[in-house]
Amino acid sequence: MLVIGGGATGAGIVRDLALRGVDCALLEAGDFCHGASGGNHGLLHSGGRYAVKDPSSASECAHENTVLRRTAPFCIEGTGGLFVSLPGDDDDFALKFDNACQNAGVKAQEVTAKEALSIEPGLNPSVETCYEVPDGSIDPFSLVLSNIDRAREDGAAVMNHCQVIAMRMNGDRVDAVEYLDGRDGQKHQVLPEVVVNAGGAWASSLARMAGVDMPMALDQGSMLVLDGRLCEHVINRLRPPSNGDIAVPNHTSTILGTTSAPVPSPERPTIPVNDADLLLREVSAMLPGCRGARAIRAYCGVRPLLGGTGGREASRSFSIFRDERAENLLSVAGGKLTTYRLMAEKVSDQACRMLGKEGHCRTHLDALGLDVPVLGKGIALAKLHRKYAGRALSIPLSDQRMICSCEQVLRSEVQYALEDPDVLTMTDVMRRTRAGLGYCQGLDCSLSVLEMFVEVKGAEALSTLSEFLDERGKGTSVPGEQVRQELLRRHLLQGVYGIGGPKE
Amino acid sequence: MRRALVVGMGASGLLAAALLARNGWKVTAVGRGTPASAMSTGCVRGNLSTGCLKHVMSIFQAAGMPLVGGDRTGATNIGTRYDCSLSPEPSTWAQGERPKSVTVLGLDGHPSLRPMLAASLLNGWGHRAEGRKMKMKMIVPMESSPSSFFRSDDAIEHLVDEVQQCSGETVLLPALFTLQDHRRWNELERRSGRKVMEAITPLGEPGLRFVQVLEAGAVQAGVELWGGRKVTALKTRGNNIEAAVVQGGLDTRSVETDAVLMASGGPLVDGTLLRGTMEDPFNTFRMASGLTIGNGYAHAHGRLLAKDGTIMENVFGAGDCLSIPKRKYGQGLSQALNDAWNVVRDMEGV
Repeated sequence: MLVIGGGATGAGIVRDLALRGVDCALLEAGDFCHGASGGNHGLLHSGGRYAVKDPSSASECAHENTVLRRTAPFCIEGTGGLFVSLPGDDDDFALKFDNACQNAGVKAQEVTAKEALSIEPGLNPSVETCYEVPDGSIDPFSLVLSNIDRAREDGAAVMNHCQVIAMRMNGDRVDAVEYLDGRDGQKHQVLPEVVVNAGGAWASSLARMAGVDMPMALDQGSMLVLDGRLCEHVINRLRPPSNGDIAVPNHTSTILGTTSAPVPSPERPTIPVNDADLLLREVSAMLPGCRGARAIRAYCGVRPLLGGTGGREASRSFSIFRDERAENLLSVAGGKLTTYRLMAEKVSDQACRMLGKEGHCRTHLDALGLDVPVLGKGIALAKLHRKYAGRALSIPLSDQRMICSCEQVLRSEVQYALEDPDVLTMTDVMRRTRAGLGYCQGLDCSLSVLEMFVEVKGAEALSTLSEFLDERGKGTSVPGEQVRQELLRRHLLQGVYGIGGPKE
Repeated sequence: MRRALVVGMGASGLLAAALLARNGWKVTAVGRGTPASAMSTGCVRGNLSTGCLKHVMSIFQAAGMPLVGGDRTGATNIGTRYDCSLSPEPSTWAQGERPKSVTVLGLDGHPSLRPMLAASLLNGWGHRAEGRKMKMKMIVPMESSPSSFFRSDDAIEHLVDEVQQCSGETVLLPALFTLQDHRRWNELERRSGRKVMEAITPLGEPGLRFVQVLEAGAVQAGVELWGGRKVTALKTRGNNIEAAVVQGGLDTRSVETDAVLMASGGPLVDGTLLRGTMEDPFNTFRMASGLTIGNGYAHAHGRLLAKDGTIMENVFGAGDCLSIPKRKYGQGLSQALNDAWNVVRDMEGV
């Protein structure tokens, strides 16, 4: 069985299949999570957000929320969430929300404005109707990587930086899948019995390689990262889903989301100039403190949505396609991070039937890792555990000097990441260690990481750095104080070191 | 005695203040924080006018850190090539004198000089280079300057030893010395018998030394330096400024003046442009529009303009605070020094 795509869905599928004892492999074109699984606001949905418009997604979320808290506690912060309405918001919606949550099994509890303000003092004091829900924040990278680690332990072959470039057909079956390995730059081939296409936003172009058309719409969402945690809970606006109605406290920052706009292609999406302003303005209505906070960067993800229409109206549910033109190809579309495990279960069920293999899903029973040990082992280890889950204990703490002071990353962590055969680029290091994600956006640590990279891997320095700058450069135009940071960065890199093109 | 108020204690403010004081003005210079020149490499890349160059070189000579001019090339602290027209002697080589082989000797894990990265990049532009990590008795924390770790004779002894163990013909070191200790370079070269070079380093000692030399020059010329203070209000009559309120800590005083020189640095760099309508007394002056690094005060004949576009009669400008369309990276310091040299002549006419 071959799974294509190393986002949450693909990683979940390969883990599920490996647990059932299926001989499986996974190919990811870039690094794990480099698509929408990395470009989201890291929200563990309670289901409340979809309760009114999309009840089936809401109840899926509500169910998976409890499963994930049990099986992947290390990458989840049970912050809890609030839905709040402001003066002028539609009162009818609050009523609908209450009913819809009950029907979908979302545990929403109405609280008074006073109670809401006492548990979340940063809220706008004029909030009206408030509901408490079991939202949380989740680290998607840690979640995906632990799925991959467990799948590998159970015998799956998982490779990143392997881009599928062609599928060879034999009648109505995919006979062979050809891919380009980023490690040796060579073409290789797999001969699978069943192919699972979990390419996310790239799923339709993968399906086209087998001559199959997939009805899918691509929809871009921008997010804005603010320095520091400005709220205790996930804060949602109690109104029909629209732009800028959520703030998620995550790691050292607060992530404001989101927007929705159709895009033609998942490659290099650009962030509309006004998105950052819009998110800041809308979320500040709920959390006035955001206005004075420092925006660090804007980023975006491309949602692969079901059907041809897209936008806010499209269902956040998922479906599995099988087309007679390629009968051993299963394509997955739609879905969301919170429901990745459920999608993986359904896909694996169907794939096993196609293989004629018995076996039951166990991913809702077998934990991916243990909870973060809060006491007893020290804060340093607890922090590593939050970031690396099961891998935390194998990081040698021989060099505890800080390499990235924004995100408090140790040199040992970078050393450990560099020894990982999955790591080919500096952004791979960044995703694993968080070095370079803080408010200075890698001004200083990028050069330190670069030096270690050159030393350990013997890589060519300038091309290695330009890959990183290119990736970081995708979303750095944010309003306010960060402009000065960006100015210093350009002065230093372009002005003093002569690296990077001329930009104003 | 004519009185001048200089706003800004970076390269242009300090140089102009010293020149005015020498010409017999009573000069007060006010600065509120770290100027951009103190974060620079302390090397000048654009060209200075003949008179300005001569004067700047004489100030640095007098301060014990002579500069060398011409077509100079050096290696930055990450190993990229850096061309300039004026630098401290140990930082650059003249054309045709490029070192044949280089050992980059840095502190392990310290951003002052990244030896392995620098060696790799130096090799990339045709040097024979190798990286080497200095052995240290204690770790220099990455956020502190290495200069305080190289002040004792013992430390120098150790450094001489380390340099002698390098195989390269030339040894590239981090910027290890403060202005007071700058003579140690000669000592190091003499005792190790090797050519020792200082890496071109932004955000470190070289920029601080550069500003300190100019500060010393201003003090010697009789300028009254008020660091850590800012101008909070201006008293204007027509298109003249007659006095300014200067505040620092609990100290507030009014300074009467015949002329004002704005040398307050890039308004985007210091955040003025971003904050927009902050209670900045200099919002009285017209500013070119747009959020670009070339933005700054509109100006004509060395003078700033009032909001209505008329010329402020006794308000002058120099350096990065002036609007320069299509400003380029790396021209800031030469611009600041040339402007200071020229504006003094304009001010003499007041």
